[in-house]
Amino acid sequence: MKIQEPRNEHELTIAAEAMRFDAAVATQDELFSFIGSTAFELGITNDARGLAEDLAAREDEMATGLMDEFAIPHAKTPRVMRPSVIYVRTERPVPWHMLTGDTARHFFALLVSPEDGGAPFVRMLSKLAACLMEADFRSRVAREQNPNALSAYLNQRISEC
Amino acid sequence: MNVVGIASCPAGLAHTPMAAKGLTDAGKALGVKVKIEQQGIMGKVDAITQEEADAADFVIVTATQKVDGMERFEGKPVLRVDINTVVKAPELVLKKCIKAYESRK
Repeated sequence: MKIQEPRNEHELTIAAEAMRFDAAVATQDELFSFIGSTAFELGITNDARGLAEDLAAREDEMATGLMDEFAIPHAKTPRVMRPSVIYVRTERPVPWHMLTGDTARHFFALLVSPEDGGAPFVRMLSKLAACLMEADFRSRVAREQNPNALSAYLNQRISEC
Repeated sequence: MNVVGIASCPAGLAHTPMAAKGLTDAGKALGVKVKIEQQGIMGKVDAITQEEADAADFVIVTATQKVDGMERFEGKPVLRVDINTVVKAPELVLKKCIKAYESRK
């Protein structure tokens, strides 16, 4: 999903058209490549492969799998031109190092550059991560089939979490 | 009971706020006052003052990074816990910490 810089501190706009449902990836590497190329399409990066490598490096530092087949791969890298979130739902479960379980299907990829620390948007990313601690949030996201509805739900919940 | 802590992970973007929220919510569930300072990409979030540090019974440190400002807690019992464990089971972690602290008396 593409997130534009908020017009004010409290607003986070998540664009439904940049969500990717039914991604046909089978491995972690394929997932990172997919995120890299999606970020390239969305103008978030000029270097799809480099970004994929950044995501893999961060994953090596500490695994980003959570529970209920949710994972939150992320990268803090100069290759990211604007702080963003990409949501990818895969067709099939991808083997992943999780806190619970061993596969993931729902990926919130958080992408920031090292200079983004002060951006209000980055606070929103932290709120998204905090929302993922809640089981009802995870199950609601997993059940949602409509990108517009999911976008609306995420916007609403992130302002609350 | 007053618990303070510090959470810090590689990017400071995801695990840090998750661990902080997990422990704070666990505190609410258990009726314990919990404040967790996050040290991450946004700098210090919910910074713990010297006053709050002084009033704390014990300190939880959940971090993969070197943590800033530990001098505030000199003389306080410090419990270190793995940040993934906190994210996975925050209430259990808090219970264990409380138990460990209380068994010192």
